[in-house]
Amino acid sequence: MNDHESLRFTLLDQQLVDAEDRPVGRVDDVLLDLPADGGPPVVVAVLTGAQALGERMGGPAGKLMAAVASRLRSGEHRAEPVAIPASAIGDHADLVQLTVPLGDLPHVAGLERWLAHHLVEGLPGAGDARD
Amino acid sequence: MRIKPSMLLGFTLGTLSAIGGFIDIGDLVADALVGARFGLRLAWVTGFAVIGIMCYAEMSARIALKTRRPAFDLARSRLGPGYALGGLIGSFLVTALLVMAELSGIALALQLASGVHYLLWVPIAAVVVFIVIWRLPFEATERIYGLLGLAMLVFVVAVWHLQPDWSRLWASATTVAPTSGESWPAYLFFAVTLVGAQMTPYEMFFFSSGAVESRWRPKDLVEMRVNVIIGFPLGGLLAVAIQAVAFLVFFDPGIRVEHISQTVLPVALALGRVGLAIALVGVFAATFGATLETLFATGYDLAQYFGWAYGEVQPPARATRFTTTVAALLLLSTALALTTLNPITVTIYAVVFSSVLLPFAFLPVLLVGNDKRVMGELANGRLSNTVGTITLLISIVVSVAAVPLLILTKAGAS
Repeated sequence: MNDHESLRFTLLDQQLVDAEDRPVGRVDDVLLDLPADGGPPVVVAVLTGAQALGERMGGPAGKLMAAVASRLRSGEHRAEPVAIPASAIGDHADLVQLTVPLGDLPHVAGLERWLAHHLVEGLPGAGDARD
Repeated sequence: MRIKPSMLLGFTLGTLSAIGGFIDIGDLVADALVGARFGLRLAWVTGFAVIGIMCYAEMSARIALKTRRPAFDLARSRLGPGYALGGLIGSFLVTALLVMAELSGIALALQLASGVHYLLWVPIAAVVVFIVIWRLPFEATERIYGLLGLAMLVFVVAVWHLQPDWSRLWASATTVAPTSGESWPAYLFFAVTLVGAQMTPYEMFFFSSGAVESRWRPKDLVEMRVNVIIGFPLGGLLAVAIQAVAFLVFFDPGIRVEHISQTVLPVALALGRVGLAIALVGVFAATFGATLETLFATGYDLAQYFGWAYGEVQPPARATRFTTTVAALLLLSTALALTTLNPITVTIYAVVFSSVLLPFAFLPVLLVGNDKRVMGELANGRLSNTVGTITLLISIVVSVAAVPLLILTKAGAS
């Protein structure tokens, strides 16, 4: 990533796609780190999912969204929003392209996978989620 | 310029879907109601609606060609998640009401054809819609209902067959005032209703999402514009024809339109059984197409807000959150339709609330379309900006006036 750019226009709220161009989610929030030497903030990770978005927006609507999204997740990582490390972020001109496929990011788009696994794939004619 | 067969096919496809998007249950109800009470004195509203929706459909499709991102997608990155969430919730509720109304419209068309009560047709229609969503290639479906939708042209034929006094039609069409015995608030309320029925944001979302899914590129600009220029005015022509036949048959006896059977009755009077059958095919196709479009538009809104995979061209397992949302909404609408809630009343409320939301849907499209940094040489020209701004300003007035008029006139009853 460049050293200086407007996160508001190039990163925040942009569409995320994985290495195979599959839509993954949106950049719902950004995790920054302030270097000890007083340099500009550095992006450590992007957060995605309605939980991160709800927490960022705040207010009653945001809290509700975050709470619902958190309940819809499974596993022990529930308390933390889904994060994608900055190292996995590639080109971000119009879309934010990840350098890894969705399969390598186990917590991202969990609901999409859960629905595929438990609901949609079992029905005739649904196609295959993996191709 | 050589015209390739594939271009011709794509052209008919888009044009037909533009007609399908324009004429839906809202139009079938509102146009007949308006024609019976005000003649053609609100036809100018349809003229304005056609120009407005053409401008915004073209703009949002042009944005989609350039950025490969549909209209609602950009609302969030441009105006932030709060604004977009408001728009999402509003349009979700309105479009969900419309799905119920369109689904009832399919069932009512089947009732008129078969004599079997529409509530028995609602679940059957829902199952057919589900199978189409699940399995059928969307382009083929769109082409079928688009072609069948051309049966609506029977309304235009019916105007001639009713042997109208043309000078009276013209005088009515050029008068901007309520007919005697009608009040100004009622007149204005129905003007708002027509705007809501004819400039529906879902047409814009659907058209631009369709442009992304059909992988249109800047080189397809001409094709896209031809679709807009032919499709929407043809839809407007059909709308005015429905108003005209309702005027010719119901106005003088003072009959109020309260049922969708009355929308097609003038065609039966003018052209007999065959005409009625063709009109019913048209109504069926228009409501069936609109059911699919409203369902998908709602799924698109949600999926694009959260960045989910979406698509009618993908197998369901590639876009499970999208597919689940659409299926759940269909189930909910079926349940709502089965409560015996009057679909005509639901339609009127849905289109009035839709008109409230119009400026919120138009604003991001106008902002992005005008942004040279994003759009480059495809940015809005003077024509798009002028028409777009005027349409936006009028839509703000309509949006503010809609609910007070709804309350004041008791939804047009007085």
